Amino acid sequence: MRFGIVRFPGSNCDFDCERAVRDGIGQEPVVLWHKEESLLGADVVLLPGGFSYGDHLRAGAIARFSPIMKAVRAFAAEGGPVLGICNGFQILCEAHLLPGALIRNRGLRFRCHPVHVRVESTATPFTGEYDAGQILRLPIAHGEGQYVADENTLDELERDGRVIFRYVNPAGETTEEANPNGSARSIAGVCNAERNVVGLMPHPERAISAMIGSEDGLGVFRSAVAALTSLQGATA
Amino acid sequence: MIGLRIEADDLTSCEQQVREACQRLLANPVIEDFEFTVSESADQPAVAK
Repeated sequence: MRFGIVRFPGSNCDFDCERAVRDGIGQEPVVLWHKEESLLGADVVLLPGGFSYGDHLRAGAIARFSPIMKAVRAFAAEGGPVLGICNGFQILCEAHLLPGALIRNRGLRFRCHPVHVRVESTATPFTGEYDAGQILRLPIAHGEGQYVADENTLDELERDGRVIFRYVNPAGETTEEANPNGSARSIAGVCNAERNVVGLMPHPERAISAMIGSEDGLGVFRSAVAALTSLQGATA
Repeated sequence: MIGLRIEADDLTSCEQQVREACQRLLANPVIEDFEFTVSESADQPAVAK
């Protein structure tokens, strides 16, 4: 299975994504330079973390205009699985492929440490291999990770089960202390209405081995393989 | 505040370009509002702020 990893100028988690795909789950990564206009046959698209275009103007604001985003948008419209991690999440929000926006962290500091998130929904191509309510330990590294949206949008996300990850404490409870950036309703990740586009601020690609602190992120990538395998089986 | 120098045939066209730039790039309408003013001088194209 081919995982397309988009490399923007300033991406810095593209190598981690490659490693997660190749070494973590034994699949084929293909790096897609942002000037490409084709996804080169990718079955899954990953928008990695980093500081695309130096975060000029707003994080993700310029990357959304990269040539490859036209192909990403078309791929998503056809139901292809797209995952945005950290800066990738910011780009997907700026591109209006996901609702809401990510603004400066509450407290203004760049936050770089492990957090706990609860899997709120397994009904996406990136969470199907987890259990609902499962607690994951994943790293964060961001300055603009505070998820915001208007109250109607937040209510809609809650009602439709589109909040996919929520910051919690190790016991699985949402608390002010466990919310590292002040995100509305402790939201760490959401999906689109069709559920094939997912964005999250924590880094599953940096949590693929117990040796480096956690392998809780592997499920994100395994889920994509399982979802596509199941889809191919259904259409065969 | 962002200043832009715009070449346009007339004021309406200039305002249209600035509005589109604000909506598509300069502001994120999900979290930001924007307003702009346009001025013109004899020796310079219209300037939008």
